[in-house]
Amino acid sequence: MTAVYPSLRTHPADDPSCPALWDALREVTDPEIPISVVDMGLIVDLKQRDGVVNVKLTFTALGCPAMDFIMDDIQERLLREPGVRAVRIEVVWDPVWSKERLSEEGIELMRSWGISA
Amino acid sequence: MTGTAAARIDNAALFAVLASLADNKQAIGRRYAYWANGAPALEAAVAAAAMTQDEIGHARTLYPLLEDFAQAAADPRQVAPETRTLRYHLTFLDREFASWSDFVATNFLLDGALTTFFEAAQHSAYEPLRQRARKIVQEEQVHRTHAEGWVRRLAKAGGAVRQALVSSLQRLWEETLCWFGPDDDPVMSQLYREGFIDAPPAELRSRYLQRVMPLLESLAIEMPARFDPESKRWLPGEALPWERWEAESRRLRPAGQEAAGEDQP
Repeated sequence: MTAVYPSLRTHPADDPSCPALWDALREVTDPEIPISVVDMGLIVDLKQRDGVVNVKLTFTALGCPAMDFIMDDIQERLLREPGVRAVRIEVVWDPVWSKERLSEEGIELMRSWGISA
Repeated sequence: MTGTAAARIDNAALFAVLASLADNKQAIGRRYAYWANGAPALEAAVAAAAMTQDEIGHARTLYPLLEDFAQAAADPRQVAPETRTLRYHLTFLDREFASWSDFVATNFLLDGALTTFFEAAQHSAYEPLRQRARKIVQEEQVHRTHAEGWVRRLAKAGGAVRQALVSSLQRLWEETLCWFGPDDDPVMSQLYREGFIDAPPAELRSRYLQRVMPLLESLAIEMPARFDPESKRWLPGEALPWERWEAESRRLRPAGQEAAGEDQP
């Protein structure tokens, strides 16, 4: 089972699911494997209102050493999007991350790196 | 969730247990770290490094919760491992592990006990604990596999290797069982009454024994626990040393050491 996340490839730009922001986050990759935080399933929720983006973010492990890097990168990339003036990130542990949160592209990428997915 | 003075939670029992969980996880991580470069096999060293990261990660996600409590206001130093002066981890963790068997026993017994608590907190009324509990339980599944595999391996090796394992298990046994508190422990009992965990201390201890005893029994490792056929539950086989129980820090005083103040004239 894989997860599907909004994208301008599948949603109109003005869709309330903010597909442009999801696509922007496809440029933010895990520092250890070149997989985006979206395809990795780390983005739990994403909402934009009055120029403020609220991101619910999870990690694969509580001891993830790259947490701060990833949060900085998400912040920096979203602030480059038109109309975004602030980004608030909330780290959540529910839902618990599992391989089911990977996208189809994420699974293919992981396998190409020899990682079971 | 960032605590402010106005919105802080006033719950000494929950604060105390969270502090104990965080301190134990932090101390376990520090003890494991040494073995990332000294385990008996390369694979075990890699696993030790990964488990160190997990345990420190568990601590790192628990300490910030302390800031949300009114109890932290009295001494803000006590909410971060870098500044904390109180030590609420088990006495067993005060010293470096003497051998790899101490690592295995800690993973199997102590971390298993903490996981038993987190399993009981997966539907906690305190959301930050509920979220973390579910994630910790998920991550601990591989620690358990590692622990049980090494317990089997050391036990079946026989001779001095098996004896070292048994010795490590025995030294950790009582204090781990005591960590859940006496059957009428006011702290754990309050957590149960208020819906933060789904079982009182005696039930937690019984669940824990159910977790560890079948494997020990299958390996003919005798520990002081007995199976009650009527209730179909494992129970401590001997009275636990509550005379050495330090309720606030949830640890046992070393045998032979008097309680603070008892030696005062």
